[in-house]
Amino acid sequence: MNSAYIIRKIFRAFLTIWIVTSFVFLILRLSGDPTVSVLGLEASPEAVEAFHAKWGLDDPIHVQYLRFFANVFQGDMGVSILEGRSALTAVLSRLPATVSLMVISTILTFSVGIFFGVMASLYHNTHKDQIIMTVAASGFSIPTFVLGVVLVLIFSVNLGWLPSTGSATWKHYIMPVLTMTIVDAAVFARFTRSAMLEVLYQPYMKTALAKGMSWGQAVRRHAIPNAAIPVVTIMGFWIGALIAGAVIAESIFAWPGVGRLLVYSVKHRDYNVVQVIVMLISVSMVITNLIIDIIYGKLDPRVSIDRGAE
Amino acid sequence: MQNTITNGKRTLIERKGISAKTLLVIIAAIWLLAMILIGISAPLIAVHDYQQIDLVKRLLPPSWMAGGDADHFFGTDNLGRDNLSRLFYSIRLSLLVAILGTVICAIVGTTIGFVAAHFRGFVDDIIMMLVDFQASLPFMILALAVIAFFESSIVLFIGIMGIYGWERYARFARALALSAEEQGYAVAVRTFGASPVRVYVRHILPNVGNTLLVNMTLNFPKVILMETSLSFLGLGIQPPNTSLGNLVGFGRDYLLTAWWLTIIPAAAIFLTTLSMSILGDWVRDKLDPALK
Repeated sequence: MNSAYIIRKIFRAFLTIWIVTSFVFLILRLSGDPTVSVLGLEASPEAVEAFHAKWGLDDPIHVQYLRFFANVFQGDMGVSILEGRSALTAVLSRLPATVSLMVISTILTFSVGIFFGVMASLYHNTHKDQIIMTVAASGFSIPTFVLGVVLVLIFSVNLGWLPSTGSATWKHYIMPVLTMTIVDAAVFARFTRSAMLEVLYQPYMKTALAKGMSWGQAVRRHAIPNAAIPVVTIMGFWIGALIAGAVIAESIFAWPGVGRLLVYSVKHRDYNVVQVIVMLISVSMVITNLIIDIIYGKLDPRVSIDRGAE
Repeated sequence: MQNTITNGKRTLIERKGISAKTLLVIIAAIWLLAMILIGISAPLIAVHDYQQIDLVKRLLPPSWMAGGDADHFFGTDNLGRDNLSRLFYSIRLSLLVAILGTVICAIVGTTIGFVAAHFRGFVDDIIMMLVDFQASLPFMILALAVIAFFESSIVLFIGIMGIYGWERYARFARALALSAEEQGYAVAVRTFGASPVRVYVRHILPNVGNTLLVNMTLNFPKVILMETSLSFLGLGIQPPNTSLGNLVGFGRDYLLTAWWLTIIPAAAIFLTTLSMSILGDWVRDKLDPALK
């Protein structure tokens, strides 16, 4: 694959991060003078002036914009009003809890979704296919928060098997992970199925069978790799769903992660923390999308050449 | 369905000449129609004032359960407010936000897409860059960021819902407008002296209308899910107004003693989004099979 393709993708990734940073700066400034929310309405004029001077709020807007950038890239994103420590530290201390939840959910979503998607395609138009697809269709009509609450009702309230809040033991993982997995796995199953159906009836499958390959071999060697191409493209969208799912699941199950911190900070208007989380999420999404683009270019060599003409 | 016929048994559905799928679409349409009627007539059919607090009658169960009050069909909440009336008003607000959001978004997104296709070059590049930006930030996070910096109000909230998914419309409208330009009819009316706005609204829009309509029906359930999710988190619709998401969110604290507070609105959300998805798929198959 050509390096111009990768360079173009990396350039676009930086461009996107620049836009996100500018967006954060923009809503920060549009939302008004932070002096009032930090010092309160009854602050003396001297205190207001000192605050303005300290944060450079009297400088021209482009100077403020450049300073904001400089600070962001030095990792200085202000102090959390609620916790009294660096906003970045406050967020990073929550990161492991969220990442562990995401890694488990990712593995489960992929394996369950892709497995059932492939199964449904191989048993196309039989009862197995119909059952899998009906379950999947209702799966992705359930809002994540409804799913979470229903799980609590069944497993904590009625059966008393699982704890509904906290993160101390492995049992605490089960419901948040299920909440984050079920909907996404349903989406993956449906998408994998249609991707598989596209390739199963291609001439190269007939060729593979004609030259003496068994059906199983042909599926593994020819169908699945080709079906993987479109499935990879929806991963970018899925990362967004995973993050949104984490926000909901952590809020329901009082999971001490970044998602719950985000909701809490939005409620209490802890701007700096919100800012750090927004930046963190967009940077990780940009990086993930970059990796997906590169994988995509490798899986389907046509892409890395053709995209230039787009 | 083909394989049920091969069984040799003819089900009732087959004898009537409608497939199970069509039946599902009809049920979905009836459900949605009922929801819309409830939404429109909420002030008429709600027996109680949905904000009326009655501390004597707190957390009553639905009327068919032991201890239920015939006056409150779905029981009352933690402040003694009538659940059925609150449900009606919640359906009203949730649908209103979703419909307004979907319509605003279709208009905004399509216009942006047309603008990109019309001006090309620099303008097109900037718009495509914004599409990339949108794809790099989950919409829920963007919405939360905006709500954090500006106080949440119903107007702001509808505005936020009105940009949810704009990039899909923009991309569709842009691609469709570009191919419409190539088909020549746009060039033809332009040479007759039609203004660009007239060319887009009167000639290109009707030709791409089906695709946009399909996109709207597919976007609608997503807007409902986003609205109810944010309201569930306590960051969307604010009390004393109420949406289906708020009901589930408040009911969550009473799961142990009053499950119906949560399950009834949750079921309403589930059935509504499911119906809309079924209907959306059907509309897509009818109008624009290429989108499949």
